[in-house]
Amino acid sequence: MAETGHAGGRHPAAGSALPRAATLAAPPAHTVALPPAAGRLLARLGAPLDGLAARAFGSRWNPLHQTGTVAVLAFLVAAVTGIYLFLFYQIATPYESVVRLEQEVFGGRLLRSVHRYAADLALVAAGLHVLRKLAQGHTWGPRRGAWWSGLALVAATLLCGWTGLVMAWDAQGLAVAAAGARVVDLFPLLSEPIGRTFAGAAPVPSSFFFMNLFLHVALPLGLAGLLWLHVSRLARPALLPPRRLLLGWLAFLVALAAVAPVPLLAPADPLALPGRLRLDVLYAFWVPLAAAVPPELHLAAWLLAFAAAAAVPWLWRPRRAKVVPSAVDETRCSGCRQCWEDCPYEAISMVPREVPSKLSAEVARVDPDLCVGCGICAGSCAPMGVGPAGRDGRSQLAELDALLALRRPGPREVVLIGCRHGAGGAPELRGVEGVVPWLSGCSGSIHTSVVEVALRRGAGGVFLLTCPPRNCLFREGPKWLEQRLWHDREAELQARVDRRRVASHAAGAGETREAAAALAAFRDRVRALATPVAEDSAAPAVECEAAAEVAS
Amino acid sequence: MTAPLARGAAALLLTAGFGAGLAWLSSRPLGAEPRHAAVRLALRTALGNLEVCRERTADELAALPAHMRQGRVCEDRRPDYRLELAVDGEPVLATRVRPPGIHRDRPLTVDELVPVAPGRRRLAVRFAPDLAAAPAAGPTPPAWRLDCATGLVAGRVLLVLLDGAELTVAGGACDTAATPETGRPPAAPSSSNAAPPGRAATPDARIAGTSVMPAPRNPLTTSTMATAVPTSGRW
Repeated sequence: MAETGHAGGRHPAAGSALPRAATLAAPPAHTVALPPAAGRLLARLGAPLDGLAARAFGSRWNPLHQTGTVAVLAFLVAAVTGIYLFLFYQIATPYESVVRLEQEVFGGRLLRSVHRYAADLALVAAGLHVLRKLAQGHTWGPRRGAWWSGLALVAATLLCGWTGLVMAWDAQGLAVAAAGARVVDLFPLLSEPIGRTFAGAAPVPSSFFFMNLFLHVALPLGLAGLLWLHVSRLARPALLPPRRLLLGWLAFLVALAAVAPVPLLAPADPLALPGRLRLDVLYAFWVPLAAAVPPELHLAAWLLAFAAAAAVPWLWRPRRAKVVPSAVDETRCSGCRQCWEDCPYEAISMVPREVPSKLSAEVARVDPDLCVGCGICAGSCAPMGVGPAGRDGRSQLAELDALLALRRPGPREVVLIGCRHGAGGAPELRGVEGVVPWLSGCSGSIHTSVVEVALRRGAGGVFLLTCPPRNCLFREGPKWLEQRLWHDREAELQARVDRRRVASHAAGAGETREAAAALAAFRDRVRALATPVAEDSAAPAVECEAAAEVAS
Repeated sequence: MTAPLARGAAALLLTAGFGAGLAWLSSRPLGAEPRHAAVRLALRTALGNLEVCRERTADELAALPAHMRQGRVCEDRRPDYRLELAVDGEPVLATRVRPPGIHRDRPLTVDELVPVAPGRRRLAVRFAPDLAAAPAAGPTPPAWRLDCATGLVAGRVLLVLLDGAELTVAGGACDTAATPETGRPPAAPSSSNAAPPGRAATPDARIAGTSVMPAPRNPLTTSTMATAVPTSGRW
């Protein structure tokens, strides 16, 4: 069970005599699945690389924000090229068949290299994905299932790679097989140890290569199943990178295979000591170490590594961490299904009302075991009836009002609403003159009424700073905010709001300078517009009823 | 125009760098050329089972159902073996090999890689049952010994192989003629139940003397094989 706040996903005020002000209580610490201190440190260490990639490729195409989809793409490339290579592989003469494949088969050498580089890329992308998840703190609470399935995916990828290296049965294949056999032989699984198979007394039997080939083919099928498990809790999982990036990666793999084809080493010779070998260190990094230590120690190292990785959901989390999930105020829920549609984690379901209401037959219900407390549902609910305690639409309005009461923005000033999980708190932004900053939760959780109310309170404009769409801590925040601001997605910014006074900008960690420049340019544009009139006394429209309620 | 160009160039540069890194990691030379040779002991034998039999007492028989009243009951046991390798008279390996399996009745297997300085070396391999821990009844399990001189080459493995009844060598010639001890029958077992001196402990232990035979058909090895003898009993 995940650590959650209110069980059952119903608003504490729903159907009870609790005052509505109870929803405005300040959120307790760590109410969102955020990274621990080590994760934040990791993020800081990785920020220069992220910034470099963002400057070179742009936020939209930053490959570091696409590590998961790149791993899937590389896996698919390896699978497709593997089918072609499989047609020419012979278990009776493995090495000779690979030589023939390289020398005689059309495109054999190129495709073998693409196959190998795709497998390498899959592992590198998976490794970066793991680091990214550690930096984002996506390791605990409702996400621990995804962490474990990801771990199983990495293990299966490694196994698949090892069997692939053995298939060629060159010096590297023998080294991997012999080192692996030493560990396997520690388990009393087989009637006799398999290490002697590679002693050189007799040719390695075809049955070994058949079994190896079987594993190499069967493991990818298992990988596909694990991948489904890995993303099963996500709504609208992105499995492949955007088309432009996808084509770029394909071109990259082909070009790399053409420029630096993967070498085929000398045939396996069991009567030669391994010596200096050209190893694929991404998969076979452990082979030289395995030869230097007893197999028991080697096995213990692997088990320890996997045990530590499996314990990450407990080890890699903030102290006293507790996710406060969203809750539904059934007295306000109109049954529109928008929160159910927008939730990135499929944590919301629509259920029949227990107490009949004129509002709707159905009502939203949050599953606290799936909710990560992102608050995106708060931004999707026009009547402000759902969201994590202290971060729903009403609480946002109350917080904004409190801020504007202390620092009333002028008509030549801009309210900056910046995601606290992204670049919102960057020092470059604090120094921009004529800006009233407000750190918000995920941009997808910002209710559009907040934008309208800020303008009504006299601000010349509102600048919303989001994370890059593919680097949102909660997957879909910037996407939904864009839709609500500019494309009339439900809980949309009302038509009466002057769009010239609203701007949104996505910036990654390495793009805060550009964001500051965009903010200054927007401020200047706003200053060129006619002075707006504060509308404190204006009659609130239906959508701003809640705002008026809070303000009063 | 300059900014997109600079951005494109930077992207190209980063991609090229990543590609170079991936290619380097994909086939990076690791390890060092070995300066030593090695002797690999790859032994397997299913011989040496000790069948220990006894007659059931009348009381035991009476306690059994009529269709199970077999007068003689036998158990298969396999003793521990001791494996020793000496190079130029210096012991470099001495280990006890325990039979695998819950009942300790699976074939004995050994796979040891022992580094040895290259050059002309005299090897002595002894693989014999540890009868001190064996049951006191039954025939004597076989023992093997090999004494020979060989030239070991750096980076190469001399394979000492036991598969079936014979101790053989692959990966290099091993001159058994220079080792007068080879084939010497073992000393008589001390156990009163062991086979008498000169008597073969198992049917497979009848081979005596040494011979040289062609290597098995293995495309990975080009050596000749010298066979040594299985001998019975303690040595």
